Amino acid sequence: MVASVVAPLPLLHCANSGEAPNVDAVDAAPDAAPPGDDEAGGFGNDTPLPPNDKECAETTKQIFVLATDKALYRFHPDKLLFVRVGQVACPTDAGTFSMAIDRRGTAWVEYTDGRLFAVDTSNASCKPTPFRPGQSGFETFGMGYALNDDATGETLYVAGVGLASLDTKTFDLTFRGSLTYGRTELTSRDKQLFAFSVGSGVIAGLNKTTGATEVTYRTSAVADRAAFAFAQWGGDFYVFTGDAHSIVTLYSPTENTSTVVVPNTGMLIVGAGSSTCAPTVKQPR
Amino acid sequence: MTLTMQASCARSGGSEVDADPLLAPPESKNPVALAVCVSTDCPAPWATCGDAGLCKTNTSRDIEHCGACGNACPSMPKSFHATPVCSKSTCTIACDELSADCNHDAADGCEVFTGDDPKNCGGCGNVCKDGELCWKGACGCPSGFTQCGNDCKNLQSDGLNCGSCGKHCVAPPSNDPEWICGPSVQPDNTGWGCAGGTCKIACEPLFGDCDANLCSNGCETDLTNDPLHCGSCTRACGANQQCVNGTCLCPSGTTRCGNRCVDLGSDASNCGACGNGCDGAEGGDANGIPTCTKGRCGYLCYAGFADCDHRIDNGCEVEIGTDPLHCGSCTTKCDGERGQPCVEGKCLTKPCGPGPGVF
Repeated sequence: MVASVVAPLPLLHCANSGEAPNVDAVDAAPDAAPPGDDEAGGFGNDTPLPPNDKECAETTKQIFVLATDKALYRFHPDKLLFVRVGQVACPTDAGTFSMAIDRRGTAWVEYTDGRLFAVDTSNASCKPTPFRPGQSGFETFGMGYALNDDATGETLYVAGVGLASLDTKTFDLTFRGSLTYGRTELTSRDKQLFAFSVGSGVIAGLNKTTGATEVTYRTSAVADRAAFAFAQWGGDFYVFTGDAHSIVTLYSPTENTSTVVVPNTGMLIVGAGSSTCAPTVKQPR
Repeated sequence: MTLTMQASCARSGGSEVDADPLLAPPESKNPVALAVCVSTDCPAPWATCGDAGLCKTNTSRDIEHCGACGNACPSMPKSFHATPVCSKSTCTIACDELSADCNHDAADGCEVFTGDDPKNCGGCGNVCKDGELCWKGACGCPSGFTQCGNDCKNLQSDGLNCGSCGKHCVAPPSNDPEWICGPSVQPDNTGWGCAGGTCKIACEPLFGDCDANLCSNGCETDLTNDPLHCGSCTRACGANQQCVNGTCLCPSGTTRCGNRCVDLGSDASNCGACGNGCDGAEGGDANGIPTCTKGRCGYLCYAGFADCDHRIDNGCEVEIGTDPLHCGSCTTKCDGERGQPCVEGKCLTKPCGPGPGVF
């Protein structure tokens, strides 16, 4: 395994070289209203979400990240550029926990109180969902979509006390099986589902039916007590870890290399997601 | 009950009800084909278990009635590293992190710890190479890490294993060249940290050397409250923002209420104005949550629940999937006299068979 890791200075909070985050700090729509026009704040069929009826618009093909200040960014891996979309103001006092992006550009965001919200990635507006927290013992969980094996669309998977799928129409959680690694976030490459475990730095390819590990990759992104997030883009995996400010590590499964591509993002990233529309083969930089 | 289509019903447990036009094609001329009767036979996986109510138990996922009434999935002591789960009408177990059920016998739980077992590393039968460490469920140390005893350490940045296993970063002898500001000169707000595998003078947490003049004034910047260097030397807060605990408050589109930045349009604790919390039960059996939309309070029921009494102080008190008095909606009532259950939000019916009716 070849690694080119820029190790962070644990005590040094200087930023005179190599630390400047590449952030385009523009709110896309800071005053945007929540999607739908439902005065009662409901989530019925009369207020359809996601708001975009077209799948795989260009804006759904990047990585989205969520920071502890609840700002949503679009991350362009080819340019290593963060573009601020806006402030996610979901109606809860809790912090953000994890995020998954669907093919229509809706970010499904779980908060630390176990509640699930739907966020429009075009303007960061937020709407509560009728998801009942704590189903089957899944209090908090990582999330990610993967394409279905029978080419009938995609499924949202969640990783908590095990692997489960979550139906975003009925909001029912269905248990699939045990997971080897704890504290995991999910992403996918086409139909293959992957889990990243921050405690070990392992990326595990999962059997979507049983949760069993089918393939194991080893990254250098090991951080015991850190915030973390994880997404696939261009066939590579982008891992966001940090305890004050996140670094971005690119793991290439074809080359088995870990490379810190952003030594300091200037923010602490707690959620990341790429939709199943994101490219899955190497992209030119 | 109005017998609109047929005068008699056949099977026991069935009574005729108003025909649902959706159940028969509109072009049908045969009234017999349109007749439906009350059914009390629970369709699988629903069952009537104990006193829970007619067809109220979903045996495909109920841990106390898994596959059949009374078939409880056995509980597990903590030492078994497993949680019982009822999935698809079968009792199974969810193993804890880095535990596995290698003998495929749920009775003894997840008996193998795969976190450090070189014969079952990260999974049953995953054998590490001879002499290779099993670390956190994977063989060997990750790239950039070195084996120190039975652990993997990053010698480039670990202050307790800096450059080599066990080397702690502490102040060196006064003649050490790492005293970059002079022998034993420790600049303000600095300590010793590990960078690039070498112990160096480094800023204490939450301080920064933002003017790059370490030997003159040390790490002079308190990153917790400096709006020009908020959280890091390169992060300046915007106009009208304050730096609080290393975070710029408040981002555009939000309002500061106490120490929080909120959207008054959607924050249920500060709806329309700071401190204006929305009413309604939360947590426990509330089965719903107060909401705030465009600065106006509301209440949202969780999927499968409804607020039929319009009292948000008791939340969404009705489970409309199984309640025969509110079946599928607050206003739909099943035939209580004939014991018609509500299953998945629909009053249970079945086609009426031939022969004499039972009612």
